Amino acid sequence: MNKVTQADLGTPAIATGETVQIEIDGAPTTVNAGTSILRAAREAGVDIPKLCATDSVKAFGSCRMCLVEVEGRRGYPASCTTPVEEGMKVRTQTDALAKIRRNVMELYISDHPLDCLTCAANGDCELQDMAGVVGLRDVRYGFEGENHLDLSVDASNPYFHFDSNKCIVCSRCVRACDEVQGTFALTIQDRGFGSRVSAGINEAFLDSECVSCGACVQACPTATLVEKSIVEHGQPDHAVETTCAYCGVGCSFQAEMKGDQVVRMTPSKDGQANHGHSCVKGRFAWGYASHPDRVLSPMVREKTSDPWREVSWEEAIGFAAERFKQIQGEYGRKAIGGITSSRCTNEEVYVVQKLVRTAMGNNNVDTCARVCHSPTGYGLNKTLGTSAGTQPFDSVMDADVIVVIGSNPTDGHPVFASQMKRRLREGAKLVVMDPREIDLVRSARIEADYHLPLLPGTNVPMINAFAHVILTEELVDEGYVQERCDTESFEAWRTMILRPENSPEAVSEISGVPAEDIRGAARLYGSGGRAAIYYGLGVTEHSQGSTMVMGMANLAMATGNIGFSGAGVNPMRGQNNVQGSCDMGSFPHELPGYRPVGNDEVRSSFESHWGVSLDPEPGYRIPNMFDAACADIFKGMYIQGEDIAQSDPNTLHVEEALGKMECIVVQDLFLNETSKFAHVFLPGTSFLEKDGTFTNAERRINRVRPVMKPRQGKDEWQITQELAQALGYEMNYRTSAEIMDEIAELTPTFANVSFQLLDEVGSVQWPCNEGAPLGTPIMHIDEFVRGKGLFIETEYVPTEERANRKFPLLLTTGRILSQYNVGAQTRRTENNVWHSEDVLEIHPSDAETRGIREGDRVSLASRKGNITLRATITERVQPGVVYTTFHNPETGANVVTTEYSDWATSCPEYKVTAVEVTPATHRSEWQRGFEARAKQQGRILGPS
Amino acid sequence: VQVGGPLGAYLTADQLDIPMDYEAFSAIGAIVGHGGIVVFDDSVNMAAQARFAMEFCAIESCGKCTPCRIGPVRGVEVIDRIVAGVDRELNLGLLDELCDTMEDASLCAMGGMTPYPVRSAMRHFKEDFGAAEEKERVNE
Repeated sequence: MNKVTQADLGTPAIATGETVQIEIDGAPTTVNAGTSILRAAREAGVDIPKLCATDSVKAFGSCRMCLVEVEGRRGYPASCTTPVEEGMKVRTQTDALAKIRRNVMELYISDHPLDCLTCAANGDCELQDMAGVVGLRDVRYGFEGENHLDLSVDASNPYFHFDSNKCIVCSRCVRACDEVQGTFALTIQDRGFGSRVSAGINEAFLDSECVSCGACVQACPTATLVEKSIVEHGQPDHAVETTCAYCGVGCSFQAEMKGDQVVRMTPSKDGQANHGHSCVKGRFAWGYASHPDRVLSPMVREKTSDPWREVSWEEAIGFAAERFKQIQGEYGRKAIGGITSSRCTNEEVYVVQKLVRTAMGNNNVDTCARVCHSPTGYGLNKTLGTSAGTQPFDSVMDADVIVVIGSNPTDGHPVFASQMKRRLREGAKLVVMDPREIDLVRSARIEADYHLPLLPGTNVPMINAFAHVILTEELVDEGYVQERCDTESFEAWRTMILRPENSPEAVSEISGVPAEDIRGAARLYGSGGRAAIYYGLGVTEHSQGSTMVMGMANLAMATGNIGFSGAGVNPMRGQNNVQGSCDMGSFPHELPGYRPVGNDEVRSSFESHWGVSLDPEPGYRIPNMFDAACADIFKGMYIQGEDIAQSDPNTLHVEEALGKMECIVVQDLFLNETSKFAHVFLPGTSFLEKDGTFTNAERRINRVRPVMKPRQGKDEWQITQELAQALGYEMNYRTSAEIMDEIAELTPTFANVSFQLLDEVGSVQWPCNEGAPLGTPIMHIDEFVRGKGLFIETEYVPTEERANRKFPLLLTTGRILSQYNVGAQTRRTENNVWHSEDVLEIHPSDAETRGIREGDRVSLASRKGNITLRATITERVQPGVVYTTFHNPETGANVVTTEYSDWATSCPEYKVTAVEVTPATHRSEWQRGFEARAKQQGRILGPS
Repeated sequence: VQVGGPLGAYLTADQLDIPMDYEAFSAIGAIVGHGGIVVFDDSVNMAAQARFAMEFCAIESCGKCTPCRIGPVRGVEVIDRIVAGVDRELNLGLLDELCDTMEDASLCAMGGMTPYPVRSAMRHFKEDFGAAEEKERVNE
């Protein structure tokens, strides 16, 4: 339900390319062949009554409200299940049809509560609407007969009710769960009059396999499945189209509003990344924006041991500027820097990097991509010429072979995972390369053809073994390589790959994966048709992260799998705007558009526009900032929306660095872990208040529109602008649209982008410029961006982080569906019912030898530090490997991780840490310190 | 007799000379169905048989389409009211309309043919649906 904004055409669109002429109620119309009569009529402006049909799922034909008469046919076919045919003459309104519809409606209402006036769906109920449309005036059966009016309401899900009393058994929810989400958690239990929608076999929703994506709620035509927020607030009065601020899928949403109160988030059918679908986070977990923990006043303090003092914006910004100036006076121009946030808009990020380069006068700016996808930027740029993925999400629907490497899409990128699963159910083959048995390996109607459970740290030999098979079994696309790639580099790569240590048999020894599985999977990739690689942080967060990215690009080039739909090398980017924050020049060595600061021509184009001279020397990367802070030469940071104290590896080292600085300015929604080391706190805005753009994993630039005024009184770009002014650099933007205009002017790949264009066409994928006025969905079509595709040798160099007798297990970290990153947002929502603490997954045999039982508190110790958490025993991980998440600050998962990092980009090696696990009775020393500090740091004094 | 299974129409003694072929049966609103013939003696209550047809449909319905999921349950209730003499004329009319709805709008033959035994029973054996009772009451 969502009639405020989105029309329902009844059945999915059909794109056959052919059209037919038909006549509906005497009026001729032209529609795509294969379209249902119902949709054809709606497209022509004729609304045939319907209940079980909705355009997000296939026609079902069960409600019998949409029956029509077709000339020359017997009876009354259902218009939803009957496709149009050339010359067909349809009548949608006759006396006979009116009688059938009214009498069917009478049957429905004879088993439906009559509490319309107090029902949550009042005003947005298709049953109510249809009863009105067919003119039902009387229920002659009475209400005393057999019925379902005394069933109990299932309120177990924190976000929606399931009230079976109101159910009309149209199966829209069941079909949405199957077809849209692909979880198959719902069913129709029993049959005949006893038919009831059920989660699992009569389970409560919360206890079932339901992943709370809400597709069922969206599909429900009545109040059977209804958001608790609608129950509480009533129906929305207007809606604003915006973009989700969670993962890199970048779903488009209708924020449905009542005044400035959000009452529901409904994914947009027009959303080009999500096509009307969403996950539990995007649809439901937006309550953090109004959580009482949200800080709404600027605050300062002399020392980090002082309580916070609420002050005016002027005072806070003045305080920060003074301290930064003092530091630069004492320690030099390069002693301060900034971090941009991948949670913020392109415009907000752009002004922060501009502030660092202009007002601070150095290039000490970095972003959280440093710790996630910086190897992607490096590796794809070197081989193909662009620091971004090659495909739009929709490309997966053309893939014949899908290879998922170090990515857990059903948890990390759930909406894209649903699309991928749809393609897999259509028959595409699947290879999963992951140390853990992620859900994609085996779940409802999905089974991977190959799961290669390699040991953490052995990605590069594995991809080399794939290449070995491709080369030795003559699966190379020679024509493609000759025509499109640098052949000299290909030959060098071939020679390297063909060395015996890269054979599947040799790699099997290192990775623990049987050689025949490696061969089979590689053959499938090389010969199974259009093959697409999707990868995540399991690729990048390694000491050879960049090598692995290049290894995948080599493989794709060798098999001719780049440049068309269904193929490509695709990073699953973690944060909503991590692609954008990289594009916006948040790197110490690159200006916006990935152009080197060392290049005079590039620098001068910015210099003339910005009116300053720029430092040609690259600045510090995040880990360099920490090291420099420990060495007392880096003293101040402006940190926009990133919690480095929780998210960066080796927490103890990060804490030492932060503790040594003289001015840390945190701009965030909440007092996060980093703010415990901060001197100035500048309250930020949630996505519901932002006006700007986010760029998703497929390079799609999408508008973020404010649904309410900034709750703390200022847009984030204004805060940055005022800080720049206080530091002595004039920034004078009046709107965020002006910032985008400047980005477009200075960045060739964004030349055509403007808010006006985005408002007109919805979204565009960069490059968007003269050569591609409406953007570029697929990259490298006829030619690689760099010209000839470059093969780069990918020799395996094992990480220095090794398991030994003292630390015999390998820890790898990841994320879970219901929580998001450091959890600053999701922990402040009801999502905690699914995941209230980080737990350690351990294999039964490793648990047994250590005397660990399910649910035991265990100590997890590495060479860097130790923490305690609960263990869960599961065969999802292999013997020798343990796994946990880092969503909760009190767990401190990164106390354990090391600062080993990617050789090219310094991206930390989060995915491999040698550890030991032992039973524990009390929390670790760090954790006890955390508790004490949390208490001390919570002190805030009101304005004096 | 009932020809063609539980969804077949009831025929009266007068109709026993109709040839057993598809067209001839179709012309009188009956079916050959699976060809089985059930013979009832004159002690049978045809309202009970009509009720049984509705009950059979309610038990056998898969529940996908609305006419067949809810219709036969209401059908049983309506026949009960008819037999009990509650708003008889109104309920007879309602039963007739319900039969139309099930016949015209059901997804498959389960709901679509349940009206055959019901309607034929109503047509040929009105007295079993309380017509006699009504008459008696008028006579009194």
